[in-house]
Order: sequence, then C-alpha cells, then structure tokens
Amino acid sequence: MSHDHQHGHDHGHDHGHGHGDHHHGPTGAEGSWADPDADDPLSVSRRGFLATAAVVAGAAAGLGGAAAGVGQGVAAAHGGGGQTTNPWHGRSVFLAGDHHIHTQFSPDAQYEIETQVSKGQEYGLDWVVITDHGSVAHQKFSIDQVTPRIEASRAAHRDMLVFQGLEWNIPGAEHATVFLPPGAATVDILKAFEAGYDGSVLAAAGTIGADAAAAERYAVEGLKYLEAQVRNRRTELALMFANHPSRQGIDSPHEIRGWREAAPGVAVGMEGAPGHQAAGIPAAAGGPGSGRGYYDRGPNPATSFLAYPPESYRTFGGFDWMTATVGGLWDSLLAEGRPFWVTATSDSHQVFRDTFAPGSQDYPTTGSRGAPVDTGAPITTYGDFWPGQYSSTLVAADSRDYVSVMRGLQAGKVVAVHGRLIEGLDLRVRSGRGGDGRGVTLGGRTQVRRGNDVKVDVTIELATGPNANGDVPKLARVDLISGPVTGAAADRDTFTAPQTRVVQTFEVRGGRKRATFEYTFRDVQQSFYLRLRGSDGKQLDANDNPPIDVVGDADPWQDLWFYANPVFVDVVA
Amino acid sequence: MTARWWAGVPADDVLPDAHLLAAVDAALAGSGTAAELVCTSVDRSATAPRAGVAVRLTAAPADPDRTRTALATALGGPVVVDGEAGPDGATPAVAALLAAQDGVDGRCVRFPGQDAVAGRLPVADLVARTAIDAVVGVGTAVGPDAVVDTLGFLRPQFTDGRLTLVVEQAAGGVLQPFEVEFPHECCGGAGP
Repeated sequence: MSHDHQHGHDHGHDHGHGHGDHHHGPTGAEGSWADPDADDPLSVSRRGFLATAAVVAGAAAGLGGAAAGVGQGVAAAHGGGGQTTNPWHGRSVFLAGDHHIHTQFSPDAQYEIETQVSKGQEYGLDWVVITDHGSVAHQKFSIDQVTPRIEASRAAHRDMLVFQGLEWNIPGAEHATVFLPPGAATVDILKAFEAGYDGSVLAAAGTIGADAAAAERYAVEGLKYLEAQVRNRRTELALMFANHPSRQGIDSPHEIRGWREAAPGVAVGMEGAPGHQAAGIPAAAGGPGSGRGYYDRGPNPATSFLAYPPESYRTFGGFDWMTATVGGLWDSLLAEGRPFWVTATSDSHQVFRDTFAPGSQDYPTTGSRGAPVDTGAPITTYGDFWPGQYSSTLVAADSRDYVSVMRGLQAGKVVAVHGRLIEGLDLRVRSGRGGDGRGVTLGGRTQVRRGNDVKVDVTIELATGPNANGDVPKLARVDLISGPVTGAAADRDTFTAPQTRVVQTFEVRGGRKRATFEYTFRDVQQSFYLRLRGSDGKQLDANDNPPIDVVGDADPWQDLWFYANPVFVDVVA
Repeated sequence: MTARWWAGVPADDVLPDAHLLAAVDAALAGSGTAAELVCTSVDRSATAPRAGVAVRLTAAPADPDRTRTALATALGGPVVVDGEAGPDGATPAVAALLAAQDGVDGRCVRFPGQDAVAGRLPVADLVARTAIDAVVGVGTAVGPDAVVDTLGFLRPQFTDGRLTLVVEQAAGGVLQPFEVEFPHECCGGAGP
C-alpha cells in the first residue's frame, strides 16, 4: 500500500545528512548522522570535548541550564537559528515495508525469496529486506545464492524495492537487521561484514566466547566498519536496526547506547514490535499458543542484563517492552536527545497455518534448505505472518527508490503499524515568534524561543479498507507522549525516563477518513521531545497502557497499535 | 558431623537440567545419601560467567571422601563442602552454596515436594506441599486460591530468603510458570 496523502509532492528535504558538508552544514543532534564530527576519526574524544564545552556554554548563557541535552547544548553554542531536521512540508508519501524477512537460506526458515517478495506485494508492501541469519554457512554458501534470486525478484516486481541484507548476530547481544542499497559493492560489503563481525561466525572461529565485554567490542567495530564503507563511498548508506531487543534481555542499555554512538549514521533504531505476531494465538484457535512474538523466555542468569525486570521478557500490545513502556528504555534514549527509531516487522520464517514444511537440503553444507514441501495440511505450530500481512513500517520517502527509503528510515520519518490500523500520519511541530514557524515532522528536530509555545498538528489517515484479517480497523485513541530532554544519562545502563508521560489522549470519532488533532505546549522553558502512539482501544490496562500479552492467549487482530517516531524540540534564547 | 550442603562447578555438557540431575544422582548412588535440593546459580564476578551447583543432601554420606571424588568426576569440576575452603577454580561452587544457603540466589532443578505436585492446583496447595515459599506473578496479582498449571516443570528460585516460583497469566484463566521447559528456539536452537 502506498500511503499517499492528498497533497502533491514537490519538495526535496534537506536534513543535513550529506557527508560532504559536515564542516559547514547544519548541526544536528550529538551522535546523529547530522553530527559534523561523526565521521571524524577522532570523533569520540572530539565529541566528548565539544559536548562538554557546549553544555558549559549553554549553562553560562542561561540557555538550557543543567537540564539541557548535549545536542541542545551544541545547538545553543552555535547561536541557534535554522538548525532543524526533517522540515515539515505536508506532502509525505508513505511507503510500507518490512526489514526483517527470512527465507530458505536460513536454517530455521523455508520460503523461496520470490515467495516472500510476492507475498509482501500482495499484502501491500512497497519495500522488503531479505535478512537471513548470519552464520558460517550463510557467509560461505547462502549469499551467492541469495543475490541472483533477489535480482530476479526485482525484475519480476518492478514496483517493489527488494533490499539485500543480513540478520546479524550482534556479538554479545541479540540479532539485528543490516542492509544496504543495491550497489557495486553491496555484496562484497555484506560478505566482509559477516565474515568479520557476525557473532556466530566469530564464535565458530573461537574469536569470541563467554567474555561479554570482549564480544561487545566486536559489535562496535562491526558498526564502525559499516560506517567506514559509507564514508569511503563504497555504499551510499548502510543501516542497522536491533531486532527483538527484549526477547532474551541481552541487549543491555549500555550496548544500545554504544551502537548508536559508534555508528550514528548506521545504528539508527530497533524493532519497536518484534515479528512472530501470530505466536500468541491460542492453541484452541488453531495457533501455536506461545508467547506473542515468541517472547516466552525469562532471564538467562549468565547472559541477560539482570536489572531488566521479568515483564521485560514479554510483549505489551504486541510491542517490545522497551518501546511499549511509557518512560521506559526507548524514552530514556529520547530523553538524552538521542535520535533512535522504532519499526515493526514480520520476522517471517514459517507462516501461521501454512501447509508448507522446510525442504530437506542440508543447510550447513549448502547454505539452503532447498524448496519447501507442501504437506497439504495447515501447520498449527507456525507463529509468523507473511511480510505485510500484519506488521508494517511506514516510511516517508522523498521518492520511490532504494536510497530514499533508507534516508527516510535513517531520518526517523517512520511509523510502526499493526493490522493496518492507520495508513499514514502527518505530524507537524512548530513554533511562532522567532522560532521555527515552518516546523518539522516525524524524526525531526525543531526549536522554540524560551517561553514561547509549540504547536502540534496531527493528521492521521484512517484505514479505509479491510486488513488481512478482513476487518476494517478502527483507531480509537491516540496518546501524545512527551518528556524533557535532560541530557546524557550519567549511568549508561539507564532504562527509565521518569518524567516522560502521556500528556494528552485524543478520542477518535468514527466514520471519517481522516482524524486531526492539535495540542499546544505553552510557555516552553525546557527542551523536550514528543511522540505519538495509538490503538484500537480494545486492550488497555488500568492506566490506559497496553497490558502485558498473555502467553498462549494473544489474538493479534484484537489488539492493534501504532507507534510514531519522535520530534525533538530545542529551547533557544 | 559432615555438612549436608555441597557444591560443585559443572562442566558445560553437564549443565542442562537432566544431565545435572543424572550426574548428581549417579555420583551419590550407594553413598547412603541423596540430593533433596539441587540448584544452580551463575557467578558473574569473573570475565566469563560460570555456573555453580549447590546440593543439599538428605544426610551425610557414609564415606565423604569417596563421595566427593565421585561427585567431582560426575560434574567434571571441583567440589566443595560447606564450611571448607574450596580448591582452585571452585569460586562458582562456593558462591552457589552460599547463595542457596542464604536463599538469595539459585534456580532449583530439584526441591523437596517437587514430585508431590502435578497438573493444576491452587497456589496454597503448591506452597503447602512443596518447599516453595511464595508464588509471585509477572503482570498479574496472585492470591492463594489462584490455580497454577505446573505443566510438569517447576523451577523456583531463591530470592530474598525465600524459594519463589514466578508465574504468569496463561490461557484459560490459570497461571503457568514463567519459565517453561521448551521455549521457542530461535534459529532452530543454533542462535545465541
């Protein structure tokens, strides 16, 4: 589905990520792709110095005081004015996609690449990323089989964007999507990256073992390698999204912060909602009866981050605990002023009630399971959906091409949606009287003069047709969530943002194609961020938050949510 | 009198629950005692985490030296007895022993009363019939009349001085253990 707004489209964005203009271009958030120092070999120490200097300068000027974020400090030190990202233009075209899809080239999946691409198109996706598991066999045998099949699917689906990627075993942590746009060096980079930095490959070689800190360093080096490929212009872009981050409690807060800082142009987000959304369908309803998202584990005393609470190992309204918790881990990153985005994917391996079983080819020696085999009967243990059938990541792209989709993802112009709950979302955040009157949209950064107001305008395109379950979903509620930007956390394992809260809930009236809301933050004294989420209103806890999903009793179609990515508002003098 | 609390450092291949119980039972066979409580905890003080296992015996073994040798052989690692300084490499065993004794840490693979409960039963009965002191819910409140479906697999943990079973809401209005025997294996179990 293309989620076109009614407006035309004529505006190229200018969020200042070009790698050629770092030393005179706009100053972005610290550690973001717009950070002028991000590609400096001395960037870590220089950024540390600059951030310190800027906060001091900001405090001295009475700008942000102790509460100013590092990014705000940098902006203030440069005198403010014009330093925005993702300027609003009201003509966003949303392209729906999925960055986490497996095929017969994973040892635990089964479908042909062409099947996954076709299904994605059938369910309305505009772009897909093929992400088979990294491993010795995948690196040696699978990639060279995947490449021509992706090219064939591109030729067969001219209006689909089919990215080649990898599900990276992050050394010392969970999995992550890594992908690049098509280019002369794409396959070489993927192969070299997997050989050098995949956790499974490194473990097989004995390079990493039980020493978590040692493994974590390989993760950081791997991300720096990808960023270097961009800097050296071997590829225009490379992106990484952490997948199912809370499933095993092994993506610790300091690791996530470390990835983001190591490669701010590459490590830009995480799955806000994991795939496997059919896994919680009750056995009595012909489903696997497992945990939604296959989140059915508890902490591993040897490897998990022990401060994560037990409930973090479950989903809430289908979304990962890091994202679904107001004032949780995601908010703790945003409260630092760190751009970090959330998505929704299928993680499609074996589809709910499909009749096909894996082929019998020997994966370790061939890198493929061969063609799947039709058993003729629905298999009830499968817990996944087809790409686009349930989960979609809507990206506002400037045009329908590979690089534009990736730029939109990198810029955070992204909404994570389940069950086609909404089809588009136009967010405009602006201020008058010497501030940013034009405003910015999803993933953006704007500014307001101290004491002035910030106006938020939201237009949501509601579902106009049935989703893949045959329901026309009805958006019932939209929450506007906000918290102050309080600067870098002293403890890098921080995973709470206690001041972040729902500031307003909008009820959605039915019978319309479009819902509009507005809200004004008055007399703004402190830099802050805001974000939106919404639901069908069917599953809410006593505080109107998504409740924990019950293992073996989670019908995903009766519990739909969307999460939109944030906008940061800097206070300037 | 020889202490009833023993502990060891199992080799990796002995660590899975069934292997661990089999190793302990084999080592104690014919010794005049048995393991009534077996619980593991992980020592994360070193660079690489290492599991230790604490064992509470029903009685002192007839020949402690012989039993110690048998247990060390079965576990594939050093063994310590309560009150003794451990040999080199026994830090995880000492930590596991102290944690279990104090009730502050340890995942119990075997515990008194384990075989006396099965299927569905009220929380009050679970606590009355076993060594489990408390049943705590994740994302849900738990009263004494709430029904737990044991699913034939209980792994209570020592925490705050109590042996606690963590449960969660399940389909059909019952509770089930938060830790299940066969969680979904990603990558067919090949993943990290």
